[in-house]
Amino acid sequence: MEEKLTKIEFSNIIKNWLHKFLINKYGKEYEIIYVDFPERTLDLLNNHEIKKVRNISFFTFKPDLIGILKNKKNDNVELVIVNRELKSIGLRELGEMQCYCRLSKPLLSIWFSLQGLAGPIDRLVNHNKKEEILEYDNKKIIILRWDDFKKQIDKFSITPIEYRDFILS
Amino acid sequence: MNLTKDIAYIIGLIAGRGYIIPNKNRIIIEIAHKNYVIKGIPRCSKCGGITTKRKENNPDKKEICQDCKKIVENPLYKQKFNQRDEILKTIESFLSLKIKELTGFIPIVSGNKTITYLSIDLSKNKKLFEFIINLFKNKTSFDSFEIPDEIKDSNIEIKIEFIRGISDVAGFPTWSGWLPRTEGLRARIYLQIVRNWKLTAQLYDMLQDDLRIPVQTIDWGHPNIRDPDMIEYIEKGEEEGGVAWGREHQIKIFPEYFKRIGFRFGYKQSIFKELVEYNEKLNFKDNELSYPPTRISIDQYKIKHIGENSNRLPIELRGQHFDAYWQICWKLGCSFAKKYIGKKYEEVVYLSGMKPEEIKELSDEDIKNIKLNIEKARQEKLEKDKIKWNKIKEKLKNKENKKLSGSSKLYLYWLLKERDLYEPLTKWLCNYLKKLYPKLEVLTYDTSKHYLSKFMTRNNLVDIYETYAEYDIKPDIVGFIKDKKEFVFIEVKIGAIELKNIGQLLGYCCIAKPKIAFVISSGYPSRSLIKTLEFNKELLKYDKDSYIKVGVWKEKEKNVEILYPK
Repeated sequence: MEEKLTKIEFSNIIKNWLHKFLINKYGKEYEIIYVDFPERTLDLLNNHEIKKVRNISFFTFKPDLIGILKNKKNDNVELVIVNRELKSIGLRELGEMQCYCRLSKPLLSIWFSLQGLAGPIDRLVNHNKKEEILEYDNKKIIILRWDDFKKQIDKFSITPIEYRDFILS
Repeated sequence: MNLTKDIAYIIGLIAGRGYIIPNKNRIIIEIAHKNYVIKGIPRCSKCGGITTKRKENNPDKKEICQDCKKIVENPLYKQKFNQRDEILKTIESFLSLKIKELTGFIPIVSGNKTITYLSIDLSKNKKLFEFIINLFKNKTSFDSFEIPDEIKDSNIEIKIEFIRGISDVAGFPTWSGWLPRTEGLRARIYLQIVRNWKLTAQLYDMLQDDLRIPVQTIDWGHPNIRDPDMIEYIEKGEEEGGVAWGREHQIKIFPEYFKRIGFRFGYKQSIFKELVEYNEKLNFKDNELSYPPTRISIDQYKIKHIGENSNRLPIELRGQHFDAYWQICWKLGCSFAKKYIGKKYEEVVYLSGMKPEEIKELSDEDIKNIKLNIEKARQEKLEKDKIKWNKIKEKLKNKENKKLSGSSKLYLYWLLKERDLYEPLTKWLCNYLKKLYPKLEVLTYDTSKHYLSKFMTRNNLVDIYETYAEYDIKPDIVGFIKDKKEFVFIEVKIGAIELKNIGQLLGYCCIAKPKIAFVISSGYPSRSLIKTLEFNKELLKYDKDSYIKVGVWKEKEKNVEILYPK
């Protein structure tokens, strides 16, 4: 029988995964300053480095999890924004993330879910290639499903498909 | 183009769960796997007998051994499969190779916990793509495909491959569909056909007439079949219960008769084999394989259901009542009915299920009495059902009272406040659009309780707005400019609008591209949102020149003040 994960358990899994992922992907170029659940909206977050982010005063939102990365060469600070959902990801959730991304232009934005992307949206973006809902600043929102049975990311849930190698390698 | 067995199989996959995307030379196949793990036959851990969750004397729905009658906490299974993994294995080891042979491309695979999609790129084999488009007569989705004439006119081998394709995506060999019989429980498999009445009826004919595979029954997604006593309608209310019956149709077949078809998906075939072996060991008699019409016993007559007039039903069935699955087949034009239509006692055959050879000479008076007896049986059933409905209504009332306690009261207060705005805003939108489009037909509705797709189905708007019918879009108020096939959305809020509210509407807008979209609240936006919107107009953009309009409702003037974009 499959045990159901609580929101807190799921959040902690994502936090651990994100930390390792950021070190693996960006560790050479960036210093990973902060990976945590923000307790306030980002414009009010009590973190010295985030204050250096351009237009931070407009970031009046609170994602479920954020990463703050500092470029080792030029001290530029970049954000990674993560939301999580036990259910499937639909248009409302993608729209919310789209708003956050338009404002903050994060290095990465990820929706984590235990169910994955809702079927019709999966068909639309991955097969019909209508990806507008995911696009921001020449990047795309990424959707991942955590397979709690196997304790790993479900490879075939990674959306958009071209991000599969990037996420798993 | 030559219709080979391989192509017939792919055509079957498409007919079962396919979408054709004409402008992209692409076909998408959907493979549903609602349960994470699929199992074979459950057996008692003590005596090895079959276990079931039979309803009689089993209020907790526990597995009970049919032999030793003990409760079995953890039944044993000969086989268990992780469906998703098995499907991916089949795609990798078999389907991808087949598709590459035909198209030159490996298919793209994606999915979530309950569904897997694969899409086939046919840009290198446009001849095949055109062939498929023509086979399905330019229809683009499995809920409207029919069996292509070329398949109907082909040989048995081709038909078998076609049905096998359908079975792999729409067939479910599971133990749960058993029937109690004197020899024991008899396993059944089913083909699940979603919202497609014609295809179901055509498969019924092809299986029985061409392949000599008897169908045990069809569990039609019709109110008389799925909700014969209108219990679900009463329990779930008009909104949900009024359409809950319309999910899918299930063609039920005893597995031992389906051996010549079987499944290409390994895990399905493996469980299917277990069901076949089990049924064959019990030596069930074939006497229940009588072809319709079959006699309708007096207790099988059903009450009239409100849903019989639903516009979700095809024209051939709308406004009619059915007491047996085969009556629906009859009205949909299945081949067996041709023997009786226009012949002596046609009406009696249809109403009673008696075959003409079983009917002795009947006078008009006799026929009148048969009809009266049927109506009497229906009336008696209705009286019994009314008692059940009252009990359900009482239970629901108690539940509602419990809900209205504590914190939920506060939530309800806000919800009601929000609902107070729906009616005036619907009227406001209607006037607003009539001024904008004085010569066009404009309809505005409070859609807050519905998914847009369900709302459009109920109001005969699906044909006009077909493309959006499947998305779970739920704006509070929608305006339809029918002639232009355009929408207008309003998302209603109470108090200060937040960034999150903009985002939620933005999601809908990016897909549905409404002509105009509003977020309207009883209060002004929050200070933080005002600050953000003053300098970030692009946040509201959802199409080339389209921006979400943020407004505030002025109760006194019964008007909306648009605040953003400036």
